Amino acid sequence: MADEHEHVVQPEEARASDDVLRVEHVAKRFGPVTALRDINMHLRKGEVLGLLGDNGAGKSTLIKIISGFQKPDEGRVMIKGEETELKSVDHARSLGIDCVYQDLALVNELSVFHNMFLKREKVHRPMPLLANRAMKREARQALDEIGVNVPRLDVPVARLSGGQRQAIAVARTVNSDADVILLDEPLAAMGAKEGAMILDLVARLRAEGRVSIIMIAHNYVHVLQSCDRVNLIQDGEITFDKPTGETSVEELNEIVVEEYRRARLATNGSGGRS
Amino acid sequence: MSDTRTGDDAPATAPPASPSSEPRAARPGARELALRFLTLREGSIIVVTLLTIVYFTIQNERFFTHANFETLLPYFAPFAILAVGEVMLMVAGEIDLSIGSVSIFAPFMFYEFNQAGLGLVACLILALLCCVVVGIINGVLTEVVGVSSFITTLGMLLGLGGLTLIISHAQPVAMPGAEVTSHTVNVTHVVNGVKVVLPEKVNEVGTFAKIFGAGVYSELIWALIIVLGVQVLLRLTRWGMYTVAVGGNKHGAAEAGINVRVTVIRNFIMCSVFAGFVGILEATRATSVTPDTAGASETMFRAVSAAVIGGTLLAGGEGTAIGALIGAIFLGVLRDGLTLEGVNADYLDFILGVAILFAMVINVYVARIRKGSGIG
Amino acid sequence: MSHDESVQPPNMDPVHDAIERLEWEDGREEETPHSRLRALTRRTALTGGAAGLATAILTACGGGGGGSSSGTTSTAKAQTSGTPASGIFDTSKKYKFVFVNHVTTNPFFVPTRYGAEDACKLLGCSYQWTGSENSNVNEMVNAFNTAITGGADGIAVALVDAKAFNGPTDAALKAKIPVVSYNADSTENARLAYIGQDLFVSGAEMGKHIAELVPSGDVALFIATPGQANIQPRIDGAKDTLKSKSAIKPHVITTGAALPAELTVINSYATAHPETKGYFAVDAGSTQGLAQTIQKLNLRNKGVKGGGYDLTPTTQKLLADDQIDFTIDQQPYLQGFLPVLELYLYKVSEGLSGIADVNTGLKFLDKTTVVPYNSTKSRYEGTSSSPGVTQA
Repeated sequence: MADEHEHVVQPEEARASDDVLRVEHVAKRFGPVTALRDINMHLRKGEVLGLLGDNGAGKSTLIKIISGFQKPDEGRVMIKGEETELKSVDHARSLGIDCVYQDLALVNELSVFHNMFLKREKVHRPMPLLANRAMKREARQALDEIGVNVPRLDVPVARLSGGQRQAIAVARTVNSDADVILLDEPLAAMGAKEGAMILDLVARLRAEGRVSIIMIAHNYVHVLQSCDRVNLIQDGEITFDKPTGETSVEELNEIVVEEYRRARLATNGSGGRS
Repeated sequence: MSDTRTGDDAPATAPPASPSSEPRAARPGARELALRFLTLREGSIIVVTLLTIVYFTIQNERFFTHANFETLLPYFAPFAILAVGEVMLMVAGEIDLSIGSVSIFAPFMFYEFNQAGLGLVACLILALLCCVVVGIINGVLTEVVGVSSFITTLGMLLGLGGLTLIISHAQPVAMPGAEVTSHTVNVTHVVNGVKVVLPEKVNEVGTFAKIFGAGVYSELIWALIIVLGVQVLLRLTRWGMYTVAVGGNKHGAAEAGINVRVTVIRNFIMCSVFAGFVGILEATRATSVTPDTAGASETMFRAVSAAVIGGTLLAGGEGTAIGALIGAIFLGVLRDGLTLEGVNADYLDFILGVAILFAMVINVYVARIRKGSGIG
Repeated sequence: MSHDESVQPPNMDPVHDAIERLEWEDGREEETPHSRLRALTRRTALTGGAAGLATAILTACGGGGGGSSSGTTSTAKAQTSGTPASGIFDTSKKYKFVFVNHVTTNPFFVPTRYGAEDACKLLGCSYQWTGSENSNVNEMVNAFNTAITGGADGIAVALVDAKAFNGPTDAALKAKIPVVSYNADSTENARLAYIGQDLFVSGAEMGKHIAELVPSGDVALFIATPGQANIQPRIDGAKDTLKSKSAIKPHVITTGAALPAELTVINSYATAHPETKGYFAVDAGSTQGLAQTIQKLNLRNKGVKGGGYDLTPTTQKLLADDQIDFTIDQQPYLQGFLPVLELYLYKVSEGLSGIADVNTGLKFLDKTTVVPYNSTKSRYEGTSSSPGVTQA
């Protein structure tokens, strides 16, 4: 219920020229479970937005809706100012939205460059034969451009380290001319060194200014370091929206712990709100 | 910061020291070439098959003859075609157990269409269309309804086999278009220095039959065309790439936007059509269509064995059509060679079993070398 | 002895004639206890004795080993005395014959393989048993072709398909390889001879027996795989005879090729049709199945009649227990023994002799005449691998 939180973010005045993505009053249910209640968020061009929240709060579902993998039950999504119904992942991709899922959607048995071009392959027209050499060349170029170091492109992607795989997945979206890149927990299951490399990549992309990024993460330090703005999802709604410069790890911690205490009191049946 | 070490340690996102740092291989020596050959997915089965051929050639002087080559063809060519159909499905992580029944169903439908008055080529096309329907049913039940492909195709194996028995009233019939006509020619023989002219019977079949199974090299040529076609499909087209993706990471493939259903159903259709085609080839060769449902499972096992021995994993994601052909050749050579040597039926199965296990053990070891060597 | 013209193979025809004639007369005779006993002893003696006869002739020519007389000892002697055949037939070649069979692992053919084995030992030859395990005609054709390529000296094939073997047979004959058929025949095929049961006639005779046992009413005729060349003619023969007996209503039911399934089919039929007066079958599996069903459902108490073909151990036992009224023995031992003999003689005489169609018999057994089968084990019935006939 909206009243339980002290403040829920409401849609701002539309600043169409800045917003590359807007989400208004989006809701999504899976049977009896309500994953998203009333989501309002936006992403400006060239921005890196960090999306925080507990497990089960609805982060992945929101990402899947934005990327076209699922459809919202209510609300609307606006892309570059136009209200759009995303019919499929392909459709979203054609509009410039691409996603790197937690499981990376890489096929272990296919080579690096094949994975780079998965569902975006180049063929020798008119015959439907894969243009392997062209793809390999372009993949090499693309990886060099964003500074990803993978020595051999024709090995199966299973041979690469976690960091390299993540980098390839990100490079894939960059290479396909996406304007909006969604990163679902890119640093999960990664050590400090490799995590740093991914963050470096994100920083480089941000510096170039070509893409806008939404990044889901758990580590507040990382988020404050690499993002321009932070959103917090709690219980299917966005309850916090501030530029990273105006907040801190402590503040974010405090909000989350508050929520936990409130939930515990509620389940203990001690009624009332604090 | 620049770090040019290869392998897992390479820093993923450090700017490379030089643009385009693809390592250039030095001119490969003979040993390097041999190693590269062995680490081809098909390398080990090629070696095992060659060894088997050498063994039989030594054991029996009639093995390495032209006449035996012609006899050898039907021992493997039909199974090679069946096997590559299975390869496409196995790579996608599925399997089709019903190909044995489809391969007796199709020639019966061919016969029925012919009885209804249609020409041979029309019957062939319609019979294959029936196989397309079978493939669609298999695919839809597996991908849309969600029954595991093992169960779906098992049901199809039994159901279609039974349907064939019903349509045919369990009676074998003559294969249309495969009739053998014979005429006598006078042939001159020299016997004990005396010229004797004796009439001899010469058998002929129609052109349709020659192309589709009865000609000596017919099955071989079809097998080669189909195997090469599937290999190209698997390696060099999107269809093949999506098949590998679905088999390797079904969820990920869907997330990447691949239409998993279409990919898998397409492969079911291909497998059934190949099975029906083989059934028609074999029926034409034998000039008769037999509702042999007892042998249907055996046929399927041989095809799947050829595919697996050739290097296609049952689990999915990896596969090779050329390997399936070599696997079929290996099994065919074994069977033909042992029969040529005079081995009795009881011993045949035992020896075949041992030989297959042996071949697979070698396969596994070589596969380990391949994975460890970093090549391919 | 000079090579070509003057080699005269000893006249084996009397032995063939004897067996053939005697068995036929047996089938036609009025059954008396005396005749039954005589039939059995003669048979055992002759099949053992055919070998004994051959040995007698061979030893007279200086082949080796002791005298003649009764079946058991002389057969054993034939085995141990090496290859006296080479002495008579003036050839030291070890011929290799190939038997192409449709159910290579089916126990029915065990006596057939023993027969082929014994004949080979007698003549100093070898045989290969190959084909398909589950009636796959294409596999059989492959095996046939391999036999040709492999230079077999003779081929014996069960012609279970009317057309599929015609091409290969022609090719074999062209390559001067003699081909005979056994157990199943097709007149469209160019094979030199058929050794086996006259299928249609056996069916007709069974039809007569059925008419005697069940004068009127519903009768079930079971067949494992309709259309198959070695059993379809039997049911055709039976139906042909029963056509003229309008009071009998025959129903033909397919049981399938696997024994357990056959049992299920017969069981369900019997439960669903309690008015059936007689259960008859034309193949080994269905016969055993119906005998077991009659026993299980106690149908003998209702006066139900039954009968069929071949002697599996279960069928033998149930016949002795009076659960069915008759079974027909087609002497599978001879279906292995005689083809080898014929192919050998053909080769040795370079095509001048050796070939003859042989009806391996139509022997009706009932609950009395089957008793010795149950109380003895013999190689000729496949129940023992040692030669001769011993107490069970």
